[in-house]
Amino acid sequence: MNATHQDASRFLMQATLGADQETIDKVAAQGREAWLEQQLATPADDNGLFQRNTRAIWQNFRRQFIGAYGEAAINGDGNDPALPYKWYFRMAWWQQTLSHAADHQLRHRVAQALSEILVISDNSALELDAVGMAGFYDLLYRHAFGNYTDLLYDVSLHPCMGVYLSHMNNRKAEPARHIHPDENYAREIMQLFTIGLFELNPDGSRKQDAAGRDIPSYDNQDIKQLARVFTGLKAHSYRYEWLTSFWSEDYNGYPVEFDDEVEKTYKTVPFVDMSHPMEVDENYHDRGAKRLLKGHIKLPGKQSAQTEIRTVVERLVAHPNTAPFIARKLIQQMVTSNPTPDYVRTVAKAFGSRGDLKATVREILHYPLKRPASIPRGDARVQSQKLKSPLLRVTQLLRTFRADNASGRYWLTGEDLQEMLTQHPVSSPTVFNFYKPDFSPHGPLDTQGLVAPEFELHTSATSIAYVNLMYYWFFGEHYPQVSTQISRDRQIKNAPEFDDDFLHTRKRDHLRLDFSRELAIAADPSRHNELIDHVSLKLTGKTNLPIAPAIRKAFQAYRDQPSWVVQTVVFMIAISPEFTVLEA
Amino acid sequence: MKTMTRRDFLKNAALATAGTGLVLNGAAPAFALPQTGANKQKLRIQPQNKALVFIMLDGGNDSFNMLVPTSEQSYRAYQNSRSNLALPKRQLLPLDGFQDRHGQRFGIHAAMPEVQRLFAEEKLSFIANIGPMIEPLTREQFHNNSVALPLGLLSHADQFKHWQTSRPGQRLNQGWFGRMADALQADKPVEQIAMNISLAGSNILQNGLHTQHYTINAEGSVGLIINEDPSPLNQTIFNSFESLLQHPYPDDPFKDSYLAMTREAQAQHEAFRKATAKVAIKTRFADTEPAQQLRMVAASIASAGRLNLPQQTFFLRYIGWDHHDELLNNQQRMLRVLSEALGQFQNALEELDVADRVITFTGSDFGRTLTSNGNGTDHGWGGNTLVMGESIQGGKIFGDYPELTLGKDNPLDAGDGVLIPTTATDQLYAELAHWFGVARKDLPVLLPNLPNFHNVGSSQAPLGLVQT
Repeated sequence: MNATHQDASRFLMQATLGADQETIDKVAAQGREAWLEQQLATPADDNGLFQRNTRAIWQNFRRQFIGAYGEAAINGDGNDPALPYKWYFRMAWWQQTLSHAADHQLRHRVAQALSEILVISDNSALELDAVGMAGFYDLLYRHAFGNYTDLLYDVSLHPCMGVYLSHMNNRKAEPARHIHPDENYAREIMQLFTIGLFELNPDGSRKQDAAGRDIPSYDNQDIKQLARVFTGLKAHSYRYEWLTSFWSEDYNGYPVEFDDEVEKTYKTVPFVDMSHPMEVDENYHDRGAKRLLKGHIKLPGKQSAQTEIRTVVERLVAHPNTAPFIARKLIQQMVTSNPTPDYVRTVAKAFGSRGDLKATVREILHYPLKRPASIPRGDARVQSQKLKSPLLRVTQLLRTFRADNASGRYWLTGEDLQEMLTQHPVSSPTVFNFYKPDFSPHGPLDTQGLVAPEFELHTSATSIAYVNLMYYWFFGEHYPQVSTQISRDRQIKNAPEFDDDFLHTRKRDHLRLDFSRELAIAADPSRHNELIDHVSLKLTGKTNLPIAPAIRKAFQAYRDQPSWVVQTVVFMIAISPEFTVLEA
Repeated sequence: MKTMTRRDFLKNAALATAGTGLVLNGAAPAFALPQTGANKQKLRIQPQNKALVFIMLDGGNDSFNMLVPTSEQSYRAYQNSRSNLALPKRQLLPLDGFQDRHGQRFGIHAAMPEVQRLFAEEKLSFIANIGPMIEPLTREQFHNNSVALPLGLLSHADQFKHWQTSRPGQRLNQGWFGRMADALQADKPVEQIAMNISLAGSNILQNGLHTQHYTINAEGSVGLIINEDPSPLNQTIFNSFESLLQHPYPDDPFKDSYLAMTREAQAQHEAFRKATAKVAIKTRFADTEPAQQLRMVAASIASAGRLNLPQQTFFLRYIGWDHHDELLNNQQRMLRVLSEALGQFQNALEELDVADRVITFTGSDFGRTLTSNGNGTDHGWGGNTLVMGESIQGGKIFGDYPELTLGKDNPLDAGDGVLIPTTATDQLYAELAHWFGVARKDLPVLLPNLPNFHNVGSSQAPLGLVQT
């Protein structure tokens, strides 16, 4: 079934990190469902995509450090370490985001959505290990159309999660010393990654007791039981990328043991290998029987930590709460902030007891094609709405206009974006992500009982900063910062260059957007209405915008200057709610 | 290991700012939030020059390692319970001149010399074993569920919220600063900046039923930067931007809310910038996020007259206290940052001659388990917090500092050294709110559970913290 170009454009805002004209045309011709099936049927191109890229970028910088300062730049005493700092993963993330093949657009979108649910952050000790974080992101990418059980098992054993939620190096209880297992991961795997705080109906609404109160889905005893499962976990081996008189090459690859008499400070990032799953020392794993969630999870004891974790993950994912809980979160990420109960129930059914992500993603995108996705309010024509996160606005603009540079290296540092928008992938302030699923800002949304999570990032500071960013981009041609060079400051021999003025002079790396089609239309003033519709179609999935008169007025005085006309049209639409609010 | 700090990196990466701001043309566009029904119980607040500064230690500060008993028996109990996380007594900074009613003496973490000095100068006090509560309770009542307990005990999201609402029997998104703004700024003109100013974006504490807070950052408010000079081109862009902001979306709460925030922010930025630009502060502030933010807070308080904001509140969020792991090193580093920032802030307030009208206080999701998980601690309930200002009775510990023994020996131990609080956040907030101007009789309107802890009709203050 064909779709109109408008339908295709709006659909692609849900399903991709941003679609260019070719993709919109293709989906319009092919039909949304056919495109969706094709995307879902395409296997991941590379199971280690992000890690391999991150490592290559890091090595590129290491070679540059060596070139400038000799081998002493990265090894030996008296220098600063050139560790795989967080930027190298950011660079790899943007490289992929701005260049991925058309066949993988949905997979990239889903991985990004999952990264806001299964949260780790470079706003932590993980900032010292981009390679590890990239490996974690590979899990999200690889399992995006797989099943949630496998994904969550791998996530639970990933050393980045082990560091971030501190179950790495977690020991069984020592009652005599008043030492109990770390409860951090046990709590969050239930609260945030599977069953949530309250018992749910299959449509995602909360169950209530006879007195009309919400029913907690677990209590502190459940957490204590589960904490015992996540004991005995340790990093695969030592690895420190800075050889000195303190650390010799022989140490790298040496297995980590709880009782090897190495200080525990060295059993975590950046001194350990973060690219292999955590291992277990059963001497430090609590091998007793465990029972939690009113018997929903029963572990007989005398089992390895891996076996127990596998069982726990399977049972948590199979818990009746998890399907509606994760379904709702993914719908909120991709389509609408306020899904109907039937939408949640239908997606939850697709998720099933093992967490079939392919079926889940299919239903999330398919359901709104047939039925209302949101409770209808206000304008009855509007099916569903959410505020695009600042990140998704940026990825959509860059991808729609095919951001490119001469070097082909899209190594965005992310620092400028994060500074202005307070958001960057894998960099949330806490495990609670950038915004909470139940956030509602002051005013009409709140009074109508609607939630709008992304508004938590829309404040008097960030709302204006976003306009400033768009101004830098479209009138200053000052696009996101790309750095392929080591710092020019000879005091800093271990980091990329961040000076924006300097980087701006690196023409080969400087990002540019492709406005060739728009400029061609703009050259003919009689086609300016068409131009507004053309840009609007790409960015909002609509034409005949109510703000079109204001846009026309904005470039009237300069209508014979095509580049000014194009800049103005794109700027005005990009800062308008027609673009920032995703609706279908 | 030598690495650049995160802040150095950020500084290196900051965008080149493009000169002067845009020159605004005429009056700012008018806009008012829709009124959403009247507040039934009215809160009366006496207008006066006052500011409350709240620093949320996000994640759950392990405050039993911040404030430690040093009397021999109490210290032994501390040492036994905290096991490998106990701080050596000789490292603690003594709080000379104070002993509690049991004759116990105390010390604070070695990373906090400024706090030690402020305590000695009677400009800072602690509140011991405080937490959100609905009513007082014993361990037996806790275990048999015979009294109302805060929702979501031991969970970040809920306890973080309760510290800001002080209504832990509900999950609310309006905090007590927000409710005060509802009373004081119900009919605020649009261009008037909100009295509740956030250095941390959206938050619950300053969110009211009818009012919302104003977000700034350590450099101040954010306004449109449209090129180096107000050229005709830029003027055109700005005019277009302004007309876009005025576009009505009456039946579309998403689009309307998006524009409303942008519109208000733009209207208020120029006023804020002008009011604060001339404040000169000689006191040096450390290059840390909390210190730089407090510097901006000091500038805002010094500009109260120009901002037309006699009463102000500030919200700061210092993230990263969830020390399940590497507690000793990380907490030391962060208490150092906090103490230094507090010392510098208080100095700056004195320099600006406004110290007598500011009270600063901290809160945190919860105290942590007295027991160790080997390398850190887990979520608890009661904890210790601090209050700073010239208007308080400094150099004291208010509330009952709890016994730190474990198990049946300690009637407050709910398990693993999770302590049942003995002072409610309501008691602290009631004193601060009254100082700020809330009529004593109206305190229960602001803090509905207060009567469970304090005889509101009595002439006595709940804690005696604020000087009378």
